[in-house]
Amino acid sequence: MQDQDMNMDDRLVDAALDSELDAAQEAQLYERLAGDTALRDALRSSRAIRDAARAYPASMTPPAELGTALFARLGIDVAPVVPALPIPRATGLSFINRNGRLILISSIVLLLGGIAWITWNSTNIAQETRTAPDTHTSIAATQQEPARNDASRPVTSANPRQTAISSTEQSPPAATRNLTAARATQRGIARAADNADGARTSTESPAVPPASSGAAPPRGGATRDASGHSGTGGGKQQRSSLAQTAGMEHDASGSTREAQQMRQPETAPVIHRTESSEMTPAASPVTLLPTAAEIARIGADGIPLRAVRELSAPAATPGIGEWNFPQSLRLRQEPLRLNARLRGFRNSSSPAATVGAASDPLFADMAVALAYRIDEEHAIGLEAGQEAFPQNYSGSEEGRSVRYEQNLLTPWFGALYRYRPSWARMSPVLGPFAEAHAGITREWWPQTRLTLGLSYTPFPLLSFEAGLEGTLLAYPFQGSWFTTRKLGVTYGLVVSF
Amino acid sequence: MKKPRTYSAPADAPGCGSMSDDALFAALALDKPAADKAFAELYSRHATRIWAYCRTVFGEHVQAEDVFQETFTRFLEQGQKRTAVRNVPAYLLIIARNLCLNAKRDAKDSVEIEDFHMTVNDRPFENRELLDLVNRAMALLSEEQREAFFLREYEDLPYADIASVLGITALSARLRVSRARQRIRDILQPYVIELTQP
Repeated sequence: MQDQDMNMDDRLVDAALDSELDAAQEAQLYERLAGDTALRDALRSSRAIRDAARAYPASMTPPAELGTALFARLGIDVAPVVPALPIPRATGLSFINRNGRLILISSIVLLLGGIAWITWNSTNIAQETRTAPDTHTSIAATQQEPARNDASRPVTSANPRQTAISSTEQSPPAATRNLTAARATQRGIARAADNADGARTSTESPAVPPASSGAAPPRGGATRDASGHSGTGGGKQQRSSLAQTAGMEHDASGSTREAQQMRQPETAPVIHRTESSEMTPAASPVTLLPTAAEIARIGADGIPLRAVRELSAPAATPGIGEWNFPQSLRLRQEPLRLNARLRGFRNSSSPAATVGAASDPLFADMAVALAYRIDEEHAIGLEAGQEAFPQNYSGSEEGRSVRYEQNLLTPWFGALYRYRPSWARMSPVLGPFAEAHAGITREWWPQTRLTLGLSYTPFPLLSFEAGLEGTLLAYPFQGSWFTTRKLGVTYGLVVSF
Repeated sequence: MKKPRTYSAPADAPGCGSMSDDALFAALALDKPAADKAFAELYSRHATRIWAYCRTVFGEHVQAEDVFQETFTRFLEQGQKRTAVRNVPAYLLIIARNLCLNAKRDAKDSVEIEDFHMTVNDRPFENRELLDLVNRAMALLSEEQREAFFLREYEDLPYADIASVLGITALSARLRVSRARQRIRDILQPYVIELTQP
């Protein structure tokens, strides 16, 4: 009796699994399920086993190359397409798909390369700094040259900001002494110039305090005084004057005042007084940079060579120089003209994809671009990528109306134009961009793209981009044109060089 | 007469996509462009199941690929010869099964191949753990029960098609499937109950 009951239960379960129960059998099954825990477990287990088994073929898509080889072997002219059967969602870390992993690896490689490049350049700059005594020697040699009458040369001054920055990098007392000594040196040079030229030529700056105005004489006057009027004795007198001035002002209060004076705007108009007492404006902006001979004397008077180098250092590149990057980057004069970009995109399309792509290549939904920056705002370039375009088109064959659906994976290539409005930049490192792309696919179908996004540049050579992208592909079939529209997000990495 | 069974053809797709398997098989004997399209459509419908069967028999062995390609090659040849076929999916499985049996017979003369493989590493899905248990339990079935169970539960073939593939009656096919189910359920029920606890 027991076996008969079991057999009847098994038959009921089998019939339930095969959806072959009629109304009477279904009622009988539910009646038994209500009071039979074992039968409930049996039915639940059987369904779970069947559901798991049914998912197995869906997880077994033949390799694309296998189908391609088969079709080639059989001489089939149509590309093999195996639609991906519905597969339950993946679990674990599989959300990092192959494209994501490729982008991640590429980003890490580029990042490490950028860091290595910056480190290498910084090392070079450090080596240049260590070889500075050679520069000092060459500057000193110029002191032996005949004096030049360069009263008409624009007068330069040490960049107060740079000097102040350099001073703060040292210990405070030493920095103050250096500032004082530098100013004393320049003042001594100015006095010597005044002595030499008298009322013939002098310079003053109404907007600059007296100490600064005295620091900006025509250097030619000072040199002329030393070589022409006083000769070697003039040089000694000048050094004595320097020592006296430095000694008088070598106190804390004087140092502070001098430091404040040096921070005065250096672009104040400088008036050259001529013998006829006519007031003419000098060239503006005015920088107060010592001549080579003066630098040599400054070095001889004990000014640290580093300060001298920074006095003569060129201004940092605008924009980049505002950040605290290695000196090699701040002093870079050449603008970054070329950049390479690797990006991926995720789109939804219209028509929607009803079948899977023919293959699962390594490179899909990704693009690489090479762009040339015309100026700060405009750039042009070339871009190539590969992605799947769901297609839905119709026509007639053999007198019958037909409609095809496919999800064509195809490479594309085209030109791009990029606009980065400087007026819309949110910060030096963050700004919007718009990009237009026009190109063709491998089948010579036209496609165009429009991207709006944000560019984030944490490093001068490295940017990250993200934005929205719209894509339009047009393709013909039997004389009619059809389109695939896609809208999605794009994200990428840009390396400038 | 039973209506021919078709697989995974989009319901709203006219053209090749809306044609039945039988019509597509008949089109293999037409001119080359039409035959190519028909073959591509049939391949897209049945390649996954044939591949799953081959991988089940041979695992990741290269013979799975050989049998897979040979199955569709012979299938195309039979279509071009205008062979009368009433059930295309079952016919494809028959070809694949015969090729598998031949390959296994030949292989036993040289290198031993396990009788039945269940590869579950191709694509991830949720109930992998349970499927792994089912695959292991299938190894405890007799070969007759195993084939019938696979064609019914994995390939979702009706009993008549299973009977066609295995060369037995539909009643025998039903009986084999039922016994296989009961055996696997007996083996796995404790685990399945635990895995499927709500």
